[in-house]
Amino acid sequence: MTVDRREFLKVATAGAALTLAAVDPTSAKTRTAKSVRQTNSQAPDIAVIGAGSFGMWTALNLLRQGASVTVIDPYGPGNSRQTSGGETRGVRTSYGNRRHGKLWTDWANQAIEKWAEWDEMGRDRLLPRLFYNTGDLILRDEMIPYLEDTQAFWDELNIPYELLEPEEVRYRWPWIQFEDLAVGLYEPRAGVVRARRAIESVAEVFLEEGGKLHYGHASLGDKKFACGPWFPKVFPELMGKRLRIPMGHVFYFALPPGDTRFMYPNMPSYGVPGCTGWPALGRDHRGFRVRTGGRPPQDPDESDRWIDKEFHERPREILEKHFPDLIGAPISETRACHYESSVDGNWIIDTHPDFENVWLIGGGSSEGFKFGPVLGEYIAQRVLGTNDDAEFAEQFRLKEEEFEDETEPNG
Amino acid sequence: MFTSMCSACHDTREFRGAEFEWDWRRQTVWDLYKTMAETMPEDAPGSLSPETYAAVIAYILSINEYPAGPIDLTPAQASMDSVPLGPNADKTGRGSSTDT
Repeated sequence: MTVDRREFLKVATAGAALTLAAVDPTSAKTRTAKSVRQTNSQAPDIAVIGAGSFGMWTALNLLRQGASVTVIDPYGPGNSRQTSGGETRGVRTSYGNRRHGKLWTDWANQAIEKWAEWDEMGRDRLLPRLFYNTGDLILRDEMIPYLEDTQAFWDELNIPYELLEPEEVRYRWPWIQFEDLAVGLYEPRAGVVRARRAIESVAEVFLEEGGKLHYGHASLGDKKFACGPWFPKVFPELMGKRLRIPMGHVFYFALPPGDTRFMYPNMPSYGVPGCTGWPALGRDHRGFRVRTGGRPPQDPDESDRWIDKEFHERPREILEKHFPDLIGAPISETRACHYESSVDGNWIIDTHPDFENVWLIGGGSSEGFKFGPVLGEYIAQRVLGTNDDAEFAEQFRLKEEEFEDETEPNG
Repeated sequence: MFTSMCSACHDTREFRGAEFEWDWRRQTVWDLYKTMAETMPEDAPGSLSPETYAAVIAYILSINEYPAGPIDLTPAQASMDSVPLGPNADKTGRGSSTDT
């Protein structure tokens, strides 16, 4: 379809669209990217709105696949308000609890390879290390379908793991306590990425390779755009009830002087009921990470990204229950971030219902960061028309279903 | 009960339909109760009374079209374990935990 600039801006202003990547409708190259590539050698102009994990990895891959790319973000790549802007994010493949878990397991496994490659690239430039192969240990008091199905996916995809007896868990990591422990599922290739630094590094490479980055209010023409947890706020009609943006709470506990037990590589990433976390990472050792639930959705432009003392009791209960040697440890840092849950828990990678040159990309559902290197490549292929896998497209389609309850989170 | 205790962070859409059935496949009402009581509310897990957790469970069962029993759902493992969840769950009321 053909969309003139005036019509495009009118619709966007009405809040009826969600955009992360858009082929510039003002360009002579308004036809689909695929047809552009097939019919002339001029690169399509693409604006990527949002410099988070999805946005920056997509932008870099679009650039490398031949597009001319501009990233627009109001606060910059790796900024403190981004979902990707935290200190660290986990990289694991244990998705037996997801209906689309086999695909996520496969792609997370590919992402581990890509994160390791990216880190190697960075070492050549003397950049700080980004990916830490911590391993990931899930502990439960009984074998549950989540673990059974995770194992099944791992077996099918030939991903290495260990099913540990309680005695073995206690032997390897005696500083972990788990009453009535029945099973430890250990994924040795899992790890942790320094999140905000990673996004900064992608942005740096993107700029070096010829991409453009615009700060200030995200805009295309005279219209503001946003992404991540801003989607429902900026595009309430289309996404207001298709995404929820609750906040997760992360605490970094300072370690006792000279105590290396809770540092990488002596402690794995871990998952216990209601909590995930990982060791302090060298060389700056921000602290031992405990991630609990958080608080209800709020306006992402107004919400504080630190955690009030009223929420400190829960992580301390986790320490008391599972890491008793850290009872009383001071909190060195707190971080709160929005995440974007889609109705079906899967990503949204689809064109706008009314504009085939406007792409909607989101719904990381608290797991999106780790997939950035893989998703960016896939999204770029979709946008440029070089990947037409119908099964994937259906999985990531913008679904008709909506959340049901009225909330006031989205501005 | 769901509105007052849960809806600040959760949407009812998370607890019904295909996604909910997948999440709780091969598990029982007792598993749901146990998980909820151990992990919710997120800032103070286990802080509600057993009867309150049971009331939330009863609401979730109702929106998934499980038939109501003759008495209130009680937080007892034996009865809750007899009610399967998931896509193949028997919703006819046979073995309902409300029969205790």
